[in-house]
Amino acid sequence: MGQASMNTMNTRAKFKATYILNFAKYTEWPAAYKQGDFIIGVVNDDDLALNLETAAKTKKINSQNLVVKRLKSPSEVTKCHMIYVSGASVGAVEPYINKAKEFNCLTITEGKGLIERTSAINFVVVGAAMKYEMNKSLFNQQDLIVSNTLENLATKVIN
Amino acid sequence: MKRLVIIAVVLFSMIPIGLRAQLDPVSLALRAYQNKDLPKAKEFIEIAVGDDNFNGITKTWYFRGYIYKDLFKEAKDAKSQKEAFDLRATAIESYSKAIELEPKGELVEDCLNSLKYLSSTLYNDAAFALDSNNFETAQTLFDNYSKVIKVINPSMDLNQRTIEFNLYKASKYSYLFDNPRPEDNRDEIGNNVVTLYKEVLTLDQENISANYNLAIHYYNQGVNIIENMDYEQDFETLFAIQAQVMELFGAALPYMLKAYELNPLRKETLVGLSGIYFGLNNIEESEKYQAELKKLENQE
Repeated sequence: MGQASMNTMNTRAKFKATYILNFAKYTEWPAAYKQGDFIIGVVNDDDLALNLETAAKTKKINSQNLVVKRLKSPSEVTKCHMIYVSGASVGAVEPYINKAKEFNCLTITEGKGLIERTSAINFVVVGAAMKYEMNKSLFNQQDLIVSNTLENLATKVIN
Repeated sequence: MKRLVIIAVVLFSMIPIGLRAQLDPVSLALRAYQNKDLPKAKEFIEIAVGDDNFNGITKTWYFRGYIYKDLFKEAKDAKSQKEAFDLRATAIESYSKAIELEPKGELVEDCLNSLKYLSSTLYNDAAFALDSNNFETAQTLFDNYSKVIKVINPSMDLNQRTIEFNLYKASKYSYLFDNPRPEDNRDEIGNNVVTLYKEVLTLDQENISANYNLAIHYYNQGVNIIENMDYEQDFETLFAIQAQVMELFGAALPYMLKAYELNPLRKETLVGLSGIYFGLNNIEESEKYQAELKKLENQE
């Protein structure tokens, strides 16, 4: 009797990538960041990086070429538009986030308590769905302008 | 054949002398059959079944069954499938009629043996039809098989056979769902998979294959939606897709949990539960089953 085979795709990674590309669409960077490549750094999430690399083959962000950098240590964090750091605890993500804050970088994480003072956007689960919360003051600190749409759709906004 | 000839001689002696003298069509059919002239035998036996003097006689139908059974055997390899199937149907109809006319007669056992043989060819042909994705033919053949089995043994429980057939049919649809051909209606195929597994679960809710496969089908449907999603979906569409996918993953979960309940040590089920919970964004539960899987693998 035939046994069905399970599709082993990482289902969360594609949703996350699509969210991140939407975050880019609804955020405005300082003028110096509006030319050259649009760089997204990814830490500890190869499936997400792969999805973003796939998107980069055909998509642009505000007419800038999308470039994905897989980062292995905080020292590799250089000028980038966005950084996603995987890791549930403050201790795991902060070294990367702190380095990214040296740039006008939108910081994104997924973990409890990280939105309070660590990242500008944090993925959360509501019901069974992936959503996000945002810290508007961290957008402001990085000179990033967030659109009303992004703010209105967040499950929680810290000002 | 030898057995038929012996029976034929006995029966021939039972034909009223008056009718025998006229070289009745049944006798002519039998003579042609003995001479291995099946087309001629068929011609005469058809005259007999159209004649009220003979169509109420058990042996007319009994011989007709034999003639058509042999024609079927001859045709199934050499001629068109449809022709062979029609010949078999006539053979089955004839044996059934013979039994109906004399349910306790001496020919019943022989009729039943022939019907058993014909029913096995129906079941095998149903499976072959599924192998070539010929679903309607397969179902017709299986339905006919079920009818013949009811003639052979009216009290026989067909559930197990129906479950086997439906599981095989569902697995073929499932393969097509995952690997659609240009002409396929994927939604319709997907619905067929669900219907068939649910039919199996109606007959046997503890069927581990149906529970597991149905869960995988729902899960893969959700994954398929994600795979086809464009990276540039706006938020509104993204939320709608996510809701649709979560509904499918949610539908998969109880069936996978049931498969787990039936066999907690089956690795595929643990992988399935871990994947479904991961898709449902329940990382804690996903990791729990992942850990169970690792523990199981370490014990090997």
